[in-house]
Amino acid sequence: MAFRTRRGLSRQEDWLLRRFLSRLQTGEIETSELVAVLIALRACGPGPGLLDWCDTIAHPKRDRGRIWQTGMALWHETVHVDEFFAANPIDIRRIPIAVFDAVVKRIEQLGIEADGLDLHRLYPGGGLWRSFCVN
Amino acid sequence: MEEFLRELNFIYRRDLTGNYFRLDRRGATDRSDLKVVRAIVSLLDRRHYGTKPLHYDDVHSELVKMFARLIGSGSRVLTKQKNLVALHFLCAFHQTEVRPPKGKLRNPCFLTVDSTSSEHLALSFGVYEKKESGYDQRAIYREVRLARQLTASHKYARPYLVTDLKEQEYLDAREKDERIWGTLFKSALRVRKTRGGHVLSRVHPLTLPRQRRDIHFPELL
Repeated sequence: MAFRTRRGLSRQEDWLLRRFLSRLQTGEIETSELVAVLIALRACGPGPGLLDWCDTIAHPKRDRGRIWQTGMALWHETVHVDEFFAANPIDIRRIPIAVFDAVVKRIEQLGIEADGLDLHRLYPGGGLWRSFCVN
Repeated sequence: MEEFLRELNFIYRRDLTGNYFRLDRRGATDRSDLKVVRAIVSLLDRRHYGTKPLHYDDVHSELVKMFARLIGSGSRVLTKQKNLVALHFLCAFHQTEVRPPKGKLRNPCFLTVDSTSSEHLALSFGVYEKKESGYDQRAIYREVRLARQLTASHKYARPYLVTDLKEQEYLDAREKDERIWGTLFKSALRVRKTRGGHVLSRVHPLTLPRQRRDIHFPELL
């Protein structure tokens, strides 16, 4: 008898997935069984969305992927971005990365040219005008 | 515009911590550049910095596809028991920590089970700080999105993966007690079978003292 099924799984993996389904049908599965399935699926080339979850469950310390990036971005926002905007006046000598990226995106959206810039037209409000000078 | 962006990348340099861009005064000769930066920065305060939450359905459909590809069956069972799989999925990723490749954060970041504004269960990110009583959630900016299912129910967590599981139906009824509200992140969770179906509950349920009921004096009415 061959070790592998026609679809490339080992007999053991095949049994694991089928047992998961039969226990799921009766509503008896445990969380550890789902974890085992995710780890087994990880080696079989899942799509990028599922792969990130499989990778995360397989590593006790995860340091890449979308989940990791989103978590680290929230941490950066909470620790650095909030502190930056809480300052009065805002200190533009030191800009958190997330804000700097947003500035670059905004410039690209607006198509701002450095020369001949009409700030009054772009940012009506006047109050800001006097605070434009660097601290 | 490209010239201006080049100028911006010239006058701001990434610092050693990797969290900031610092102004290099030697490069900043044209003050108009800084005026633009200041003007734009002041507009970005209330912007959404977080990414839009994902929906569990996308993960589940990939799971169904994988089973179909690998063993040629399972889509019927997985579709029928989708909610049960979702409950176990929430459990599996509860208290997942994200941290930089090297070192440890003073304010750690965890993925934990929480609920959205629409009272659906979700996996949400929270940032924690150490207090005398242990770790506590830190207030973060509450990003309000058009769909209530994508918005957090409070300012201590931000949804990352939302499900269609209603809190009312799939979370242990004991969690509705106000005295333990907001402490779910501290406990390990499991899926428990009840008469009404499967629910998410604490591995070690908290026993709370009975609350005294108000004394009624009908003759005074």
